[in-house]
Amino acid sequence: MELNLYHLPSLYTKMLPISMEKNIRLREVDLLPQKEGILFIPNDKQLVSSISVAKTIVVMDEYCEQDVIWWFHQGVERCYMMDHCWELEVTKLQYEEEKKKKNAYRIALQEKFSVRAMKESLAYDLIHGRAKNIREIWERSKLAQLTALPNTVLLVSIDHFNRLAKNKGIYWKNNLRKEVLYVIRAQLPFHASLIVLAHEHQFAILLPLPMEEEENSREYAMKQAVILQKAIAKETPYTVTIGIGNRYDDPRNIHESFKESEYAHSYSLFTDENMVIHIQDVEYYETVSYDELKTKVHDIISVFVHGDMDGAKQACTALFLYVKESKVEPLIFRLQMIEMLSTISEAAIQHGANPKQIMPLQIKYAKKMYEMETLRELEEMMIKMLTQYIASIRETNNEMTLRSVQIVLQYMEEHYASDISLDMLANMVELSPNYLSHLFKQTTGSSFVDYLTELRLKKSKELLRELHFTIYEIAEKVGFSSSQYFSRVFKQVEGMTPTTYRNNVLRGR
Amino acid sequence: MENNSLKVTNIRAPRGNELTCKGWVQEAAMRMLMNNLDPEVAENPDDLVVYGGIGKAARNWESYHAIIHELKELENDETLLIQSGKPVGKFRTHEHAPRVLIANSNIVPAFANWDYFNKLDKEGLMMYGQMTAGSWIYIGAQGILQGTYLSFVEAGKKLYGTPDLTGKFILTGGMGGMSGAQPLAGKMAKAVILVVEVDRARIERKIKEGYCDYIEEDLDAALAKVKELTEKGEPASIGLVGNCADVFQAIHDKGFIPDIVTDQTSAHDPVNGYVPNGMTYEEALQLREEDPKKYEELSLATMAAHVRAMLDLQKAGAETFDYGNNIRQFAKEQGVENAFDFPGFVPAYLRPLFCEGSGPFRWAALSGDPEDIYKTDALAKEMFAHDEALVNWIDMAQKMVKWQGLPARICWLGYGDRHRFALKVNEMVASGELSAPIVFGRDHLDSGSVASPNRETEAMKDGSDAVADWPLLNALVNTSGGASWVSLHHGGGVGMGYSMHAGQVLVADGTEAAAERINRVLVSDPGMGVIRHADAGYSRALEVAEERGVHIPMKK
Repeated sequence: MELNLYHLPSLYTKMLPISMEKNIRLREVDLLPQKEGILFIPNDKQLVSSISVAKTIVVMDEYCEQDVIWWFHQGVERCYMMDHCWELEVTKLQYEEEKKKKNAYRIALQEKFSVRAMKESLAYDLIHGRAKNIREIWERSKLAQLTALPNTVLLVSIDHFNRLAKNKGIYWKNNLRKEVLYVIRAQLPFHASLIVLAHEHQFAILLPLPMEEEENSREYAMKQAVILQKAIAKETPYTVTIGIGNRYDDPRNIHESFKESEYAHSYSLFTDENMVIHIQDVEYYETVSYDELKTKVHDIISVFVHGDMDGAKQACTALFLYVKESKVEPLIFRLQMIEMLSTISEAAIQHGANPKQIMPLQIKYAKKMYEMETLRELEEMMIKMLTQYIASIRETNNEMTLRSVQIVLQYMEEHYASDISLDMLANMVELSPNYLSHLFKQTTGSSFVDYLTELRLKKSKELLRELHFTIYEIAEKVGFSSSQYFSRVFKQVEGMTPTTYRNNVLRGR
Repeated sequence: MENNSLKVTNIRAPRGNELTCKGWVQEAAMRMLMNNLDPEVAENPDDLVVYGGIGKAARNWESYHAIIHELKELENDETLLIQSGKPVGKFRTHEHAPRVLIANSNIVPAFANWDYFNKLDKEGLMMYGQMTAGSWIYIGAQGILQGTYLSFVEAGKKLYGTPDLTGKFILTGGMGGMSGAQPLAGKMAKAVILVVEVDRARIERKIKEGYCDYIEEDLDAALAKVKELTEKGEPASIGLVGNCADVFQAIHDKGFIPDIVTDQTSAHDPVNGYVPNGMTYEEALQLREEDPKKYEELSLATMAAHVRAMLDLQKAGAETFDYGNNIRQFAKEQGVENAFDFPGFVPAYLRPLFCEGSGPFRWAALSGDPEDIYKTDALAKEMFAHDEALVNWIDMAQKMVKWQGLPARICWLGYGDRHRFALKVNEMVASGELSAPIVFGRDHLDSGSVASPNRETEAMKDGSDAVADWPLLNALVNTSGGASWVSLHHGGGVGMGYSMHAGQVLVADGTEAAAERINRVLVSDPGMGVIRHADAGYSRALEVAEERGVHIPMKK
């Protein structure tokens, strides 16, 4: 739509001085071609804004720039005026209007994002305690189009975010967050809440709990949180755990509510996912007794260094059960876990694990530990770590363990006639009986009992060939508990009795 | 017998420009009564206590509801009478008369003591109105904040020639309803202020409200922090959990002498306000319940120890003053002969201001919109741009003072300034620039409205400390002038038997009638201060009367 400007000085019979201001007084028109739809702008300024259908304007009185723009928007096509310089003004205005139309998208975006930017910047300043000026907070809340100042923080944390987002790119993570954010926004009134991304997987929601609910703030906040939680569970494939801080009516102190919401959320370590935890429900947990924790860690070490995975798993389970029942403060426990990882890693290295394998594993698990959201996940992580440590111990200890088996074999060779047990031998070579049994079989291909039996039978055959000793004496010499047992075992293995074997030998001579 | 089933929780004054009463004056009275009991404002709204231990807005819940009902029904030419928090009558007067007349806690002088008051209170015949509690113009901690700030600033001017107390250490006691303003006031004066308070919950409340920065339970840790902050020149406020009598003495004994010492514990009420030492706070509350007589004895004895400690600190070089809780009087009665060796804050710092009719003027926005107060702030800064302290105060208040209940502002204006300012505000209401009427009031602790020998009228030049004609005249002239509601109280601030004082509130609703009332009441009210002090022989008051045309018959 174009505003056509007509310069018609000939129409005018009188010349009036032109004002340098934007408002220029024009003179009355004496003669004008009569055309349909011509509206003469009257002296009464108020009627200027009532123009609606005229396509032609003749300005007879004072007006202002905004009037011209307004006429233009109403569809006016022709505007009669007196002076060229005014034409330039109008041309300029027209140009500005065209530019605005072209930039309408940008302008709309600017308006939309300026409010959003104001909301986000205000939220960040509030939760980090940077907003200290009451008036400034109030003014910013107006610019953010808030109807009330927030007084309580809810921290909404997407459950298992790290697991879900593993090996996924940034766009995938953004989409996940957007999905959850969309539901949160739908549940909360736009002009009464602030929502910001506090951490990669957590949104801080700043809400104004109503004055009337001051005494029931906790219940009211819990109710709002549960509504949010259910909506997210229903409309997305994800669940959230929500930590809630106390109410602070002074907006300068809302950062305290934020800290409390984070603290409340940290207690999800001891719960399942999809929970709502209010700071007032969090008991002040003492740190777990350090000595007791050390004992539990030692129990794990004493078995896993000997390669006993089953024993290590049991000891691990016992540790986490103790932690769950002992009311430990989550953050402190995570720090204590770092120490535990360090102790276990050291023990693994002392017992032969390759430091070049163990150190990177220790770092990896220390980092991973902070991604674990529950005690169950921490326990699983620790068991996985122990499995890898044991494998390293075993791998590095092959030579050592072979040597241990050799020692055992040597001992059996020399003491086959004595009362030998697996436990005794395991103790001798500082391995667990289970592990020794496993190694023995792996190395000799035979179980300890079978090997010892075979060894004794071999020795017994040598003695049978010598003809000097009775069956009874041979049984005693090779370590069988009785001649009857010896005879039975001999027959089982050799297929004949010791006597028959001797007779066969004699016959062969 | 109190009927607690009538109790209302979370009272909130209506906001906006819709009337629920028959006129704006009645509406304002109703909103300001409710505002006094807003949980953001009141110390203990469940018991109708606004501040000062037992300063109440209505005698009981039944009376509260009756007052609200009467205000809603009150015609524009009727006047409601309130006797110690209970509505007792309504008469046809005229449209220029006050809509409400209030008399609280007045007892015939010979009977005016706490024992007799308590007897009447127990019988349901009396209510302690304090000053602004029972006269429905309390605006929360800001009211006392500015006064306390002003006292510190004036003390600074006197001691160091500057209102800037950077690097100085202020020691004081009490962090309750009124005294809770001290931590912020000291910080605004740029000092490091240590406030001793026996109730930990009160300190925590002030921290939550943003009025106090730190809480300490150990004296040495608190003093270490004071030392650190004063050396840095960093203004801050520290709340120390403890009993003033013990802590003040310990500070003196450690040789850590403050620059300024004062006290705002609720000493005016030895039973329901002050807390004795030698026991935990919980034990004290139990004793108060079980054996008030014994409690009072111990309380008074502790006050004596408290004042002795203040005197020791004064002797050691601290600028020491009383802040009007009557602790010196009680200490004297307990045998501390030189209890009045340190002055009250009024004769020490505020009297020159009273001579100019200046006092704690305040206004509240019935719209509930902070924007209205920001606009009036801008007007005040423009009209009184020459007054650096006022401009600074408004800037700091905007930055640091959270709204409590209806948005309000206090600043000390005097004779000739109050009515000019209020007229402009009335015009802003008329034009719609302000979205609803504004209520103008003041503390009873004003230049010409109080007789309180141990506080506001301590050490008057002509010895007229105890002359109580002045508050009566003040109430009468304000009634004649057409204030919106007028109150006459006894015992506020310093306790039974020690003060009489009057209040007035004026509603600027944008009408011509309001403008006329402003021209009368906001001239005569501060004018009372000028004439009262001129009569006592203060030359400054005589100068002001001369300069500003205050007519004083028989003026020498």
